[in-house]
Amino acid sequence: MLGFDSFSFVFLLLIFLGVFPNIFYTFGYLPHIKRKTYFLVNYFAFIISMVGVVLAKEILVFLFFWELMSLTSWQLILTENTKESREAGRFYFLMTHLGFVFVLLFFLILSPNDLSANFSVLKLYAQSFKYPTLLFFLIAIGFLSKAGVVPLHVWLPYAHPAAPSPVSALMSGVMLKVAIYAFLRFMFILPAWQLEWGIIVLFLGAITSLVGVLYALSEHDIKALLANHSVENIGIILIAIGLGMIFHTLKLDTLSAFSFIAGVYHSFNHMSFKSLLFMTAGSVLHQTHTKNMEKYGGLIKLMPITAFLFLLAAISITALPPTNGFLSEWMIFQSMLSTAGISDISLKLSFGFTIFALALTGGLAIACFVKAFGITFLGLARSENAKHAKEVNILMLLGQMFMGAVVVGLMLFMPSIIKAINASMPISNIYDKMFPNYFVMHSVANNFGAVSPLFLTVALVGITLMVWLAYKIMNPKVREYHTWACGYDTNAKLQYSTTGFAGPIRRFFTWLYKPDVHEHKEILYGHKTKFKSSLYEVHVKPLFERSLYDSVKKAINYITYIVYRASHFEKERYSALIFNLLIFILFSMRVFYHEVGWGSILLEGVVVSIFVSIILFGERK
Amino acid sequence: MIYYIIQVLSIFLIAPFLVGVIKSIKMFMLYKRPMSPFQPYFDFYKLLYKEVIYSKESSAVSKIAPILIISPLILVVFLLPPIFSGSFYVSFMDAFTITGLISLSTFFLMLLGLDSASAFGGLGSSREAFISALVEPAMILTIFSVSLMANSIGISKAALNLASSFPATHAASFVLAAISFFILLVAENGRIPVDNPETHLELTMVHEAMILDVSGADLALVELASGIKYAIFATLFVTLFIPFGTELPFALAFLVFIAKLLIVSVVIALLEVNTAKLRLFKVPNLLGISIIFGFLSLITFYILGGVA
Repeated sequence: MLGFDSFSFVFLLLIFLGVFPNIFYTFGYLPHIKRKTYFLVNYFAFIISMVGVVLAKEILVFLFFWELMSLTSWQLILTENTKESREAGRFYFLMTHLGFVFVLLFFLILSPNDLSANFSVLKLYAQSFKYPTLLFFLIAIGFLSKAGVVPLHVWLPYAHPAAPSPVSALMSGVMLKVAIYAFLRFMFILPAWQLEWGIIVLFLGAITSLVGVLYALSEHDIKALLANHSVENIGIILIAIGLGMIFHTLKLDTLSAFSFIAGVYHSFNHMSFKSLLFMTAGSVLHQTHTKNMEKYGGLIKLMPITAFLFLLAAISITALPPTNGFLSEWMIFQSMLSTAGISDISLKLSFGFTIFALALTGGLAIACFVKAFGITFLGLARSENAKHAKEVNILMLLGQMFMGAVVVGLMLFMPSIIKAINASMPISNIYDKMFPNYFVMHSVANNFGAVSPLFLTVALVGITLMVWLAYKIMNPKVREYHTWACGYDTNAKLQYSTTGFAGPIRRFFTWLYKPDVHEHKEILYGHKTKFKSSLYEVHVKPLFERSLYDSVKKAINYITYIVYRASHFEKERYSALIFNLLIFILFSMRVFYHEVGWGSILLEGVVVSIFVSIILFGERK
Repeated sequence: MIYYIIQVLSIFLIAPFLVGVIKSIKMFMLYKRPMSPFQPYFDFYKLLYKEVIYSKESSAVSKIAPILIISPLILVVFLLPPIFSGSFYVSFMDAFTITGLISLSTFFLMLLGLDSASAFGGLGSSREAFISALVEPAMILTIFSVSLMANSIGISKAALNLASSFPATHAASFVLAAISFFILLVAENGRIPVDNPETHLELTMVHEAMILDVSGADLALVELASGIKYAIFATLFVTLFIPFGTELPFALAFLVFIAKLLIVSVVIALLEVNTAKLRLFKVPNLLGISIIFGFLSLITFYILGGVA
């Protein structure tokens, strides 16, 4: 029923690293939650279900835990019973079951007679299955909709922030990785991969990463911003997986292994820093009682440890050296550089475009996290709540610190983790090629790419300390004074807001955002430039939601309206309908026995048209 | 090893001079009395002994950011390609690490801008975030293209490969990549079509706006950092895109290197005098050209049958 292999072990490790600090944080967060028993039961059931998904070795067991995972997380979203969370919960429920239908179809098609088949048996079934591409699409839609891939990602920025913060951390950090696990697990079952599959996954990944980061930039709800970044990072993971699939079909085994390892390693990294970001954002939310970043500011002075950990995670998620996020993104770039074994020019160029997408994503992510950290923690407090924030309780701090340790640990012990990942998947062993010694990681391509995380860290810390020492020895005279605000009092309103910070980028991408702008000014004495108060609000509704989901919603509404109209007649219409039916049957009988005359056709035509008009317009009053 | 140390030291020492040269040439061209090109050294010395004023609104970030801005750049100088073929170079770090370290420095610069609760800092950070987000893809594409031509992503090895066996069949994509990189050199260092380092006008400033509240020794560090950043980009440009002279004896190779740096600086100065600063929302067009040239360089490389 349950089984344990090395691939399960790797993801079990991921779940453990994500859950262990989270439990501390949750118990610190608990006083904040009203329905405690309800929350705790669902919380632990959620964790157990994720472990169950990873360990399951039979179809029914897998489906049971997969569904349990969806249901418990759905219940957790509903913990704080607000209108917002109910809507998010409904959306999540719908989307996650849409995915479930495809997963179920996958199993039903592959093994129609035996739903308790073991996965190893499933592999045999798959090898004799005639249409593997059908299976690929079922897997892709089923599991990737759970992972939040464009265009099936729209629920994610609503659902993840609606849950209490520790659960957001679990959902974004760990549950998405469980979806990636399931995708990979069943991909490796399929035989005879096609080149197109890899290209589809690569393309989806590139689009997902760009869309995720662009909508993250336009957010001013801090948790929605982080949730959009989860979409982005899932895109990056999929880029790596897509590359691995492409290289695999081209028989470039070392490169394929390198890309797959990069993807899974990035899953680990994303788990660590996204959990940490959600925890620290949750602490900020806990203290200020608002998710709106426009109300934050200056929190670094009141919550220094939380601020520092947020900064650590922010540097890591923006892929800046020497953090773990940098290392995995470095690996993904390296695997894209290796086009040597590919003869198709258009495929080579598509790698160029993916590099462009990934690099642009990186640049925008930096902008986004400068915004997130700078507006939240630096400057002056923009609201009363932010002025009275305090550092959170010791349990929450412990949880955050453990997660910070996971972030640093994933960087320092990178070779060991990569060794474990490499051994767990059915790919060629490239560990020795990547790490001739423990300190330097080499790219497996023939372009001499190399990076040494430990050296980089030591050198950066060393140089920083040296400069700092020199600075201290010089001991410059220090004075403190207010910031110069051109003669006005320095106050919080002079600072840049999140809306303002993202302004240039929002303006550049107006064609995508199509923002709703609300402006309101109270002008003084008819002067255009002098005003008492002014309000500028921007709301961006995602393009995919507007076009894809809203139009589907509209179409369904329209169809149900027609069905409703058709099924709610007055009694006159019913009788007209029945009468018409009767005439039709009699008419067809006479056609059948060749007893049709022009006179009777005309007569019946007139009668039918009268009754049809009654059906259409009802009885004239 | 000794050559390596001389190279690293000389890049540190020459960095303020290059900035000074640009400024004095510009002044000369504008019929002003040119300042001494050594002025930045005096400025640095003067700033070191001035009082540091921290804003009461700011936090610990203002105190540590200047150090964190300069330290990644110092590390990058150690990773730069060699100017002499016989010299030692760091082989276990590649081009992505260098771009990453430069971004790390920019990251802290942007945080510094937001820390002092002034409108100017936020303005500078916001604009810098916008520009550097668009610089990133152009940079990576150009590096990608060069690494294919030079058959190595390790930037030192790439420079040596280009110098020893120039890929003459790929001259077209080489030139395209060079133009792309030159635009990046201008954009990343806040030179004129993108940013004007000499004004303090809120309509135009980017880099200056972020460091408006920095003073004394901190300002000295930040100014030195921007000098070093310019030297890094200039060195990358001359070693990758004007790849000759590394085979000469060390003294000559060194002189050739300095001459090349000076030529690049003169070109930048001429460019600055002869162009007007672009509006912020026109800057993406310039960077778009850079991105397109990066792509064109790749495409021509593949079409001309590059095997890598």
